[in-house]
Amino acid sequence: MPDTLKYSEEELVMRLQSKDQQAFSYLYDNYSAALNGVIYRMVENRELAEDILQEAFVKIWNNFASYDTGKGRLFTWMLNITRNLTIDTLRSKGYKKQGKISSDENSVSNLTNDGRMAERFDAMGVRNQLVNLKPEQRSIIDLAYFNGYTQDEISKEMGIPLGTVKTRMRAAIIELRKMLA
Amino acid sequence: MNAQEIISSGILELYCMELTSAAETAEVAAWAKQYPEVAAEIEAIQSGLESYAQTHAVASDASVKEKLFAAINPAKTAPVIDLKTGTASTAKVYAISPVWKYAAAASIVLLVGSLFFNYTFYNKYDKANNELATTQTELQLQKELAKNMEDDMGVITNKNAMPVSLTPMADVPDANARIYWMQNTKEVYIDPSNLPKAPEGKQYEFWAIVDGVPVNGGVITTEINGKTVRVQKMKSFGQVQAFAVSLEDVGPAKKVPAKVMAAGNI
Repeated sequence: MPDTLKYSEEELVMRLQSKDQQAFSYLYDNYSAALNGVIYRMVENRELAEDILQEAFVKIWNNFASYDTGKGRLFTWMLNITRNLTIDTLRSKGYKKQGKISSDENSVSNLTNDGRMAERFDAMGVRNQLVNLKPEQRSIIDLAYFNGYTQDEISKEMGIPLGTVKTRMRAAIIELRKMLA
Repeated sequence: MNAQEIISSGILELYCMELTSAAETAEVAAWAKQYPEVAAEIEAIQSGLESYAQTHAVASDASVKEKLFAAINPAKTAPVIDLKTGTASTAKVYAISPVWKYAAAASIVLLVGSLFFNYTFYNKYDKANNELATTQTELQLQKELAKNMEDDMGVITNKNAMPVSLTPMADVPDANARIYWMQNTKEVYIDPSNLPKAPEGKQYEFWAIVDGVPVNGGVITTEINGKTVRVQKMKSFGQVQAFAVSLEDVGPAKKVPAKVMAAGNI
């Protein structure tokens, strides 16, 4: 995306804390697509994803004072807000039937087969040529990062012991970092 | 655990995925403060995940950003309710620059201040005006008094004035009055200020004795608005032998004196 302005993360945070709308516009331009991608993967509905995206950014704007630089990167904080909002939306009445709630027993079967999931994302037009992880590595990252699954849910979903989640996750992320380095 | 053990344990990856318990999260946060390598590793993991998310980016429609900025600036529209149908619509509300808000506030302050000073100064002006009017009235009164005095003095000191002291009758010994008779013009002035105050319902009248017959010379004014009247002009007569003052019932000048109080010959 074309950026006439370029902020360091530190500067961006400072400006957003003082309610600078220009900085907020920059924040949106740089991060909205990534967040929208996460929401899209969870809700599989473009319009709904955009509604949630908008709502998430309103929350980010209104709650920016609560962001603590000491607790991690800005994007991580924004992703948590976005993911929680998406999960809340999916849990609300209107979307219960879709069965995509992580704690819902039915949702497990929906995502059991990673091949199916990858297929679905290809069908949605999401291209991920940069990252070519092994399917089980990709799954463990996606379930936690994009879907907000708990360790217990990941263990059930992937059919691996609870104690293995930690080592598998580390191995997957190390692989991911190598590919993106 | 040392930093390397923490890093290789896999707990930091779980921490970055928000998969740690509250206790573990607090523990990791403490390590991050204690060991710079741990903090750097967390940063690197988050950064890696962030890049991964960017590779899954799905651009949103341009309208989302517009709606978002409208949402964080909620004052931009206000509901307008149609009076006939009762249906609500929205109308643009144009944001006013804060400069104008301050300017408006300042002008109101100035207006209030101005009104206050107007009020104060008008009151002062009004008071001063009233005082001036009072003073002028007072001055006018003093001028009149001075003029009366001057006129009186003019009569008394006139070289042609012949003073005639009226002698009180035996039963009213304090009924004194003085006449000034102008020998050249035959004008007659009386100073009744030494006459006793006339009883209620009575008045003094002035008489001239012409050819042995008393002729009324007019009602004597002793006071006007509580102020004692001194020298005053009475009717003029031709050949006069004597003057007299009588006490009469209040009313028009009488033909015949009822009770003579004082008299004197020229």
